[in-house]
Amino acid sequence: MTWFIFFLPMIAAAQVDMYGYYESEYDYMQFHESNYNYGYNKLRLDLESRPSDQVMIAGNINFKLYNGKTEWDIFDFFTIDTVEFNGEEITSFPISFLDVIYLDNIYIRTTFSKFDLTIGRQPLSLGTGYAWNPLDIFNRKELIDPTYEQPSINALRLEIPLQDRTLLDAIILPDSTWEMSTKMIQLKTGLGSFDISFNGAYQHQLVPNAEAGYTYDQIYSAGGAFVGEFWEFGFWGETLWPLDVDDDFGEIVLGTDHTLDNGLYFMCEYFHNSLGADEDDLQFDHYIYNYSGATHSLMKNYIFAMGMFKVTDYIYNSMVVFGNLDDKSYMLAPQIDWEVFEDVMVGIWLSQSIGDEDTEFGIQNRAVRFRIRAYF
Amino acid sequence: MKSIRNIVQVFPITIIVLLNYYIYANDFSATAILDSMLFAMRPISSVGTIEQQIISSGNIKRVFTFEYFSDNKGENVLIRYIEPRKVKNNAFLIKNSGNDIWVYFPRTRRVRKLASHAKKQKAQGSDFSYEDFSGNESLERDYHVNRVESGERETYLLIFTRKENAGVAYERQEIYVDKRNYYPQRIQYFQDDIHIKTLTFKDVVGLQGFPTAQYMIMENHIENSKTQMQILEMKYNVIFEAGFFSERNLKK
Repeated sequence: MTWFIFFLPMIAAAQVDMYGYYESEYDYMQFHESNYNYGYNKLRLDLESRPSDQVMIAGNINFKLYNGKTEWDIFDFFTIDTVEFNGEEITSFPISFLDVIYLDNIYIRTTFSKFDLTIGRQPLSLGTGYAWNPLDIFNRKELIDPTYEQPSINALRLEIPLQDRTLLDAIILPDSTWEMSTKMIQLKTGLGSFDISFNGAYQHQLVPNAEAGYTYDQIYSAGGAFVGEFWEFGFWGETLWPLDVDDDFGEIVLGTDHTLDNGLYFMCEYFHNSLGADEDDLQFDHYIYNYSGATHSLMKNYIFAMGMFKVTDYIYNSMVVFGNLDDKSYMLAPQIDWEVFEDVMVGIWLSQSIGDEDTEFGIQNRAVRFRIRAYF
Repeated sequence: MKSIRNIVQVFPITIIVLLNYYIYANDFSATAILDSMLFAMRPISSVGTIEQQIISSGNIKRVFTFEYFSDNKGENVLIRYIEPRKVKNNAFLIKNSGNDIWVYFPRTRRVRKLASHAKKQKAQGSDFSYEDFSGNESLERDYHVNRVESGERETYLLIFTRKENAGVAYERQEIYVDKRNYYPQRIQYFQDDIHIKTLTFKDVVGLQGFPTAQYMIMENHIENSKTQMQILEMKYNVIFEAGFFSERNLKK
């Protein structure tokens, strides 16, 4: 909230554009032969002011009230029942969802003749992937809803346009010391019908360790991304690999998409994370690293595919399939999105797992999600 | 004196007859008509505000308002939505006559490059595709053009047939060109020999020397829907600063 207090006088003094949305979600989930209901009501209020052509101040306040089941034991979602910690057996790890009011974005963007500077909690979204973004060391996506807005990141971002399609992008996430601060630099340019980027990062990252299995260390990474097309098929790819670690590991995503003449759109993405667990070596730590966002997946190899077409006016139907290729568990998720009014969207999503009970997605059985969002 | 008066009386009639002959009887080639049409349709640059009404087959109406920026005779186009709130500040940049499309989503501040197959997709659910928004350069580049009798007194009819391996969505376009100002009256779009869409230009007025349709109505004959675009403001021959049609400006 400190950021908000700092910027509040500036927002109050300038002419502020206020907008946002109300969102209500209801979820029903069936797993372990039990049924659960849960959901939330959320109000997001965006504030945006442009005191001059060169300055934009933006922020948003979120109110989120949970309902239904709000106490969970995350062991229920794991395929392992117990873990030993300091000689003690742990069989549960409860988490609660409490009602919250929080400030997500709050940043100032200034445009100079040679560069743009953005300071504050801001949306950061890097990479060309749809369901996974190895280059996005700041965020983690949900496979059931990869395009949902991500929490903002407290950062300083400098964007310097060099040529028509060439942009140098430097991002710093300040931490307690300069050493601990995460840094990312990206050079993005165009080559024919392709956009390509070269990336370098320095961050406090999870790395394999011969004795402890995993540990954290400050490391340099290099990577890149591309997006373009061949023969009317869109192609993209993205990767990030550490430079100075003995055990070679990293992430890579490759994807393709196409739209048929009748408007049917389909896409497919493959993801490999060499830091993920092997199927026969899945441990509690892997779950923790995955849930905390330290890694972008639980195991090593994944697939995501989607087909989308228009059913009737303002109703779109999608069929999403994603899965873990290592333990051969998949989720089949038909989705319907209906634009009820100009500013009101309704979504109904079903999901059915395929796979054994002791697999990543097979454990979840089936679920229904209803979401309504009204913009104002 | 009487003969001079007769000449003065007959002269305007002669001029009208000659003009009439020039306008209606002169057999211009397809290429000449196309050049004249493209000249009439393509001011160097333009800035405007456009209201877009989408009327679905179920008679459900959606209204969008967007800012429109165009440069280099429509080769570069930037569109930024103002209304409704759901799409406020969503923007797309079209360059190289629709071959390169970038979309910007303000909530994630993400810019995504779309593959050119996406230009067949509907822009914000309207009956206009991204390709329809791009310039008319592809008419010269990607199509063979022929002229046939329109069967109408006031129009020329140009038939555009897609060249082999051309990367455009429409197999054929039939453009009815107004003989008075070389501005198109309507464009019929064909795919697989089926007439799928018709774009009609209405209330054409002169604006800074360029004929400008105040209303453009795209009818989708397959889905029985239509989209009307009304020009709220338009200014031609605007000079843009360097880098205006760039990813940087897309995010502003």
